[in-house]
Order: sequence, then C-alpha cells, then structure tokens
Amino acid sequence: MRKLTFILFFQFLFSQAIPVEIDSEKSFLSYEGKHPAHNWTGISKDIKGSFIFDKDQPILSSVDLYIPVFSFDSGNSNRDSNMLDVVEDYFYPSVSFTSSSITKEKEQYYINGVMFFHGIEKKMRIPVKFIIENDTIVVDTNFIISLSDHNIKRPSFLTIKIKDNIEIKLHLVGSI
Amino acid sequence: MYVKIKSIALVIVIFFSTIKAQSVVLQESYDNRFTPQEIGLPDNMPYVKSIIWGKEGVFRKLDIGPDTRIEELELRRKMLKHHQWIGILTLAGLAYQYDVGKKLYDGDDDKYWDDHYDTHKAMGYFTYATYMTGASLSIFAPPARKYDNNFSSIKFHRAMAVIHFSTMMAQPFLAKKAVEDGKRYNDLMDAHLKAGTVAFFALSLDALGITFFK
Repeated sequence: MRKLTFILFFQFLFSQAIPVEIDSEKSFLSYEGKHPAHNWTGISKDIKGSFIFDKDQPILSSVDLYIPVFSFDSGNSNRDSNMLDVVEDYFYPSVSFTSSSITKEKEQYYINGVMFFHGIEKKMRIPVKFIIENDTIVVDTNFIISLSDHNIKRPSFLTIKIKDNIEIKLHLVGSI
Repeated sequence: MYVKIKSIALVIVIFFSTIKAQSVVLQESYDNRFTPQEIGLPDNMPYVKSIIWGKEGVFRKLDIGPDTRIEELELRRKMLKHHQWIGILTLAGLAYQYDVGKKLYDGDDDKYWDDHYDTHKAMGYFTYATYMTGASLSIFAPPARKYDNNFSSIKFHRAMAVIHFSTMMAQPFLAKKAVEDGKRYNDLMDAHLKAGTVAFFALSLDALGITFFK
C-alpha cells in the first residue's frame, strides 16, 4: 500500500501535465469547401476550451476544444450565412472535439476522441504533429470530415452540390 | 491501522486531484457551448434591407413575415433559391432579346422584322417580369446572418445589380416612348438597344462572378 501511495504521490508531484494557454492570434481552425465552380476556405481563430499537455508523456495529454460556428469567416458574408443555415447554428452553436486517449504509432501521434457537430457525435482518430520550442507548443493536424456523417444537407449551386468531404486544418499555438 | 487509513485517504485525495486536474473545462462553459442561442438581426445590414426588415422596418410595422428569426432564415433560403433559377431564366431570355433586338435594329430585312418583332416584344414583357420577380425575391428576402465590407462575389453581385437593375427598369419605357414619339424614334431606339446591351452584359458578368469568384 505504501509503495502504491509513493508511486502515485511522486507521479502526481512530478507530473508535467500543464494547461496550455492558447494563442488566439496565431491559432486557427479552417475548413475547405469544394464546388466544381470554386473552392473556398473558412477560418476561425476563436478556439476555446482547454488543452492539457504532458511534456514527458504526450500520450497523457488531453484536449477539449470547441469553436462557435458563427466565428468562421470565409471572406464572403453571404456564403458564411448560407453555411450557418445548413449547419443550423441556432440549434448547434459549436463544433467540439474531446479527446479520450492519445496513442503513438511509429513516431506518429493520434488523438482519439469524439467530435460533436450538428448534434451528431462521431468518434475520430486524428493524426497530429507537434513541435515544442522553449515554452511554446505548436500543434498541426489535417483531417477530413463528412457532411453526411453529421446529417448536414449539402448546399447546392446550379443544381450541383458541394463536395461531401470537408478538409479541416488546425494550427494551434500555445504557451506551456 | 491509522497509517493504513491515512494512506488510503491520501491515495483517494491524489486520485481525485488528478481527475479534477484533467477536468479541463468549467461546467458552465461546457454547457454554454451546446446551448441553442437566440439569434437577432445582423450588424451592417444594407440600407434597403434595414428599411424593410430592420427593427423599425416596414415589414415589422405591418407585421408581415414569419414569427421567428429561424423561420425568416428558412424563408430567405427558399426565396434566394428561386432568385437563382429565375436569374438563369432571365439571362437566357436576355441573350435571345439581345440577339434578336440587335438584328431588328441593324437590319433592313422587312421579313425578319415581321417574323420577329412580336416575339421580341412579348419576350420583352417576359424578361422584364422574370427579372423584376427575381430582383424582388432578393430585395424582399429576410436579412442574412452576416454582412461585411469585404470585397467578394456577393459585393460584386450587388454592384452589378445596380447597373442591370437600372437598365432593365429603363428598357420598356424607352421602347414604348420610341413607338409613341416618332420624331425621337431613332434616338430612343438607340438608347433602348444600348440599355439592353448593358443589361445583358452586366447580368452575364454578374452570373460569371457569382459562379466562379470566391
């Protein structure tokens, strides 16, 4: 019992899991929409929630991030308004991701967790890369989400619907 | 025994401290992110839109329109979808009008005139009606969620709309006046052709812009 107490105590004492302060100026999450006529990118810098990073054992880190859907800006307010209509932000104001575990396979880290978007929860496994420089951590990831998986009716233009797969890019900069 | 209880208590404290430390989002914040939000009118509404749909807008005073903002947005979507299709129909009609109108104006062929004048006139009423219906669907649609000052395809669309709307408004009056006023027939027909040409090319450019620009 004493051994277990000491192990837990020292693990707790020397645990490097610390909250990361997200730099909202440098961090962003973008989505890329595609239509045969044109492609576009919507960006949000309004990344909220928390990111606990364990410097020594990154697999013990955790994230619980969310972004208000209204904050995405594609540089065209009409398109943004259409996007808000189809994702029904008045019912589902945020898109969020909560990690359940982090794994490492062949030098590649994966965050496993649940994405909540348009009222639908979807389990995901997202590959991530991170760099630590002094007291700054930079996390990058690219992944694809399917609009139909989240029960989103794809908008169409000239009878042609936009592509179902949307590429998501996250660039997160934080101080640790 | 006492040491054992203390140890267990310590383990429990450490365990729950760790759990607590991992509970990274405040409950209040966690709940707020999923709570449906009341949506109001957007900032930077265009002037025409605010006259119609603003807080003190005409439709609000006359109690015209849906009861909730969400229903307004659904109505807006339907109206703009029809606006899109009617716009394509109008453009096709104007392409025909431009081609036939130019031949009627330039040509000396009486047969061509006899064969096409009535159709041109009827198509004139048709394109005028479809254009104004399409424009009304856009003008009277409830406001969007967002408006900004960025230059984008929608800004280009609005700028071009000023040009094709004004020339389309002028078209039937110029033709009618030309028929009524024999002395100024050539000048008014010339203006009718120029207005038609501007309307057709402005609408074509507009359609290309809204389709291919971001």
